[in-house]
Amino acid sequence: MSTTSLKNTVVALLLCGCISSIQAATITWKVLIGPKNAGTVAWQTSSPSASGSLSASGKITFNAGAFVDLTFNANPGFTLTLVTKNADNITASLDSKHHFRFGPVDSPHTIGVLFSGSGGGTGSVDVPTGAFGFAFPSSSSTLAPVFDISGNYSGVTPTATKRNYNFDVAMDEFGKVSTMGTLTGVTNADGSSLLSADIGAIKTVDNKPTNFFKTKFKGTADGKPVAGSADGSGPVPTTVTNGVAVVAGTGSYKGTLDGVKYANDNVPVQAPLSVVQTKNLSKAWNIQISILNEATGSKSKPVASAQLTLPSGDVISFAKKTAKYSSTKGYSLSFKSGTNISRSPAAKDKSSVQITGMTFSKSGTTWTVTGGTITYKFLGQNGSGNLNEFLKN
Amino acid sequence: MRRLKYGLMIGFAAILAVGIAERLNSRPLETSKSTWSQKLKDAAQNKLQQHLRERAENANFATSMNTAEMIAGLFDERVEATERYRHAYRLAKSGSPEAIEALKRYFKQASSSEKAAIAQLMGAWGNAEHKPWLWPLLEDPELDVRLGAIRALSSIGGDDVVERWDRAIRGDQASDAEKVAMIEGLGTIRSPFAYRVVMAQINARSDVRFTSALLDSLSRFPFTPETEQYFRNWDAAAGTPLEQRVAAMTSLAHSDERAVPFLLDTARTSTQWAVRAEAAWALSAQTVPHLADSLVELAASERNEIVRRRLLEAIVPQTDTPIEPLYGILVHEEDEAVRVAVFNALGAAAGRQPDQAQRFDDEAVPELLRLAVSENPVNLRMRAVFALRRAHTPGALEALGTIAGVKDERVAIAAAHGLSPD
Repeated sequence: MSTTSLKNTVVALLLCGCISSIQAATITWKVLIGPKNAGTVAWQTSSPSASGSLSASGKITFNAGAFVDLTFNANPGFTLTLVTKNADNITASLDSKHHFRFGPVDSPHTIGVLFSGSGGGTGSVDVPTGAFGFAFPSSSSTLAPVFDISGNYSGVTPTATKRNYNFDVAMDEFGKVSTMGTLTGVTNADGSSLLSADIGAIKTVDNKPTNFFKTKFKGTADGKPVAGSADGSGPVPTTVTNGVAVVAGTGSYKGTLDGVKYANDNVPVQAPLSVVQTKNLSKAWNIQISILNEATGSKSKPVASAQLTLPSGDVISFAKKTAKYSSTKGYSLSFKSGTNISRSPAAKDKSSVQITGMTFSKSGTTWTVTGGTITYKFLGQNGSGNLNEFLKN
Repeated sequence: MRRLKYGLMIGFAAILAVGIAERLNSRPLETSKSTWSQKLKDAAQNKLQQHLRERAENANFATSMNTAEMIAGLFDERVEATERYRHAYRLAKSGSPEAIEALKRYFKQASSSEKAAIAQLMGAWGNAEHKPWLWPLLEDPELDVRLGAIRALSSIGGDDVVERWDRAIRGDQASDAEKVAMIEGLGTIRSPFAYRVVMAQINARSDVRFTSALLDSLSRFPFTPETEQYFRNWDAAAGTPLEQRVAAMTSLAHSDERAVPFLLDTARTSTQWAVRAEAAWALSAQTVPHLADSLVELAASERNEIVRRRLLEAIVPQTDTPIEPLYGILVHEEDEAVRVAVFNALGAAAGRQPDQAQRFDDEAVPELLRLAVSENPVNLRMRAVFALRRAHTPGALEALGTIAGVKDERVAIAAAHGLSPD
């Protein structure tokens, strides 16, 4: 194996779970694969010797972009039940020897491996474990969407002057928006055609993502001096018809144009976005949660980790932490103070997702989420809803 | 039925700042809401204003149509939606009996959102004659229409409107959405009476939604010492939730430059990073002399990277960029987002000062290029492109040429826009 592009990180086998006094029928491993750890690989697994084993143990190193071969072998008394990749069920993709080739690996993956059986547990409490994926249902009309609006917005203004505009929008992790672009015939105070505004934001109001902005401007329009300020707000369009959304809102402005004062308050504004512009409005996000039983001495306790993929495409990783579980109330999980692993170097992140009352049913060895409440807050926006609406099919 | 679409503008700030004014051909500035003396002054200037306004109209809204033709166009579904909207706007602006009658006739057949828009247009010129037509719309079964009427009446203003809003906000008949619109309307009216109502309400409310709206409304009044004291007390009160402290700072983005010292003080002294960050963000709406120096000074001693980023982002609109201190920050700053904020400020300075071009090309461009073509989030990469575009130096243009070929279309297009800005 070539290691020229590697940092040859030695990745220790992390034992993070085992057969426990509260675990009878299922054993879940968590395997982490990806170039995040210095471009090599890692996995962590719960006591594979008790329930099964991997064809390789302890450490694997490989080039980022390479393929990784893993084989999962169940020990006597256990059966390999489920293998997931980032919460997607890939069990059917394993060959008859329970082998799977992952890759090419160019981003982090979480592999969940679920064994079922009776190998040693006492059966006192059956704690749900496994990998569970939840995705925001984009078609929902009741849940508050979280939008990322970064992208390019170009066209011709629907005004008498029909000016060409080219505006690029960058939205940060707090929903703060910066725009830059041009409007034909308009210059800034320096005489440059480059126009910018850095005082906009998207936040949730009345369960709707709402755009707020304020700007001051001084320059020229068709050679005439213009100065003024404008502010406004309006919901980010949530309805798309034939690929096109309509921006609507209310604006106020005042200033002077060629020596003439102007002002208006509460002007209704609406404008259709082109198909291309509408595609910039991204609201797809998902969270992949992995719950394991982790051994601490002779006992074990459930721990949960998660990976949140934002509408912006950023991936936020939440390290494992103890999960609160009650057989009557289910899990109560709180994911915050994560790490944005899309940034290089990775950076702290303020996104948060909380799940309460996450209950399960069990059929055979398969746990299925039956209810709960999810509360989410990121990109300066927030919302909450019934967890069932977020279940991936 | 093909609905009339109020095609007006893309909702971005720069377009609004310029485009709306020329597009809508606004009414003359009416500062008369605050004082009668100003009203008299405006009246005296009215004739000159009318002349100047129509001259501007001719340049930007040239049309040979008379009122009858515009009315016909409004109802003609074959006419392009944006043009029909222009007819509606011109008719509302003209205020002639036949124009208003036509709009009211159209109103009867319109959807609720169109009705709301027409109601708002009727109020946009501040013509009190439309009040009798608007008052009944407050009882319309459609919420959108009621909200449109609230905004229209708020645009017209007057003590009768303030009194009505005051009663409705205190009562239990209006929905929360209507109450919030009325609270916002008080900030539009901006009269002494409206100010008293806002202050009375803000002391009686504790829920986040109304409080945020009231703070936003309050920030639209002149930032007087009394207002400042209120915000100080608000932030100092032990029981004020963090979310509302932040909302208070957010609202001050609407305030005038007299809020700058308070915002700087808050950005310096608040014990909550989120409050400091939001105060810094609100400062980016202000452009006052020497503000940039204070922002850099604060950033140099700020420990939280998000607050540092906001402070440095607020420098971009300033014209007196403290270049050396900014390069000094780069020596030790490790947070990529903060560095990009510094580069944007330096890029803006390099764009204005040709003697800074070489240094920017040497010390900023390589890192910005690396960032823009990296696998970092789009936001960070776009802002790196923005910094290069602001600088528009030879090195920056060369980098933009490279970035224009990256895989991510959004970043590539943003870079390409920098190569051919017009």
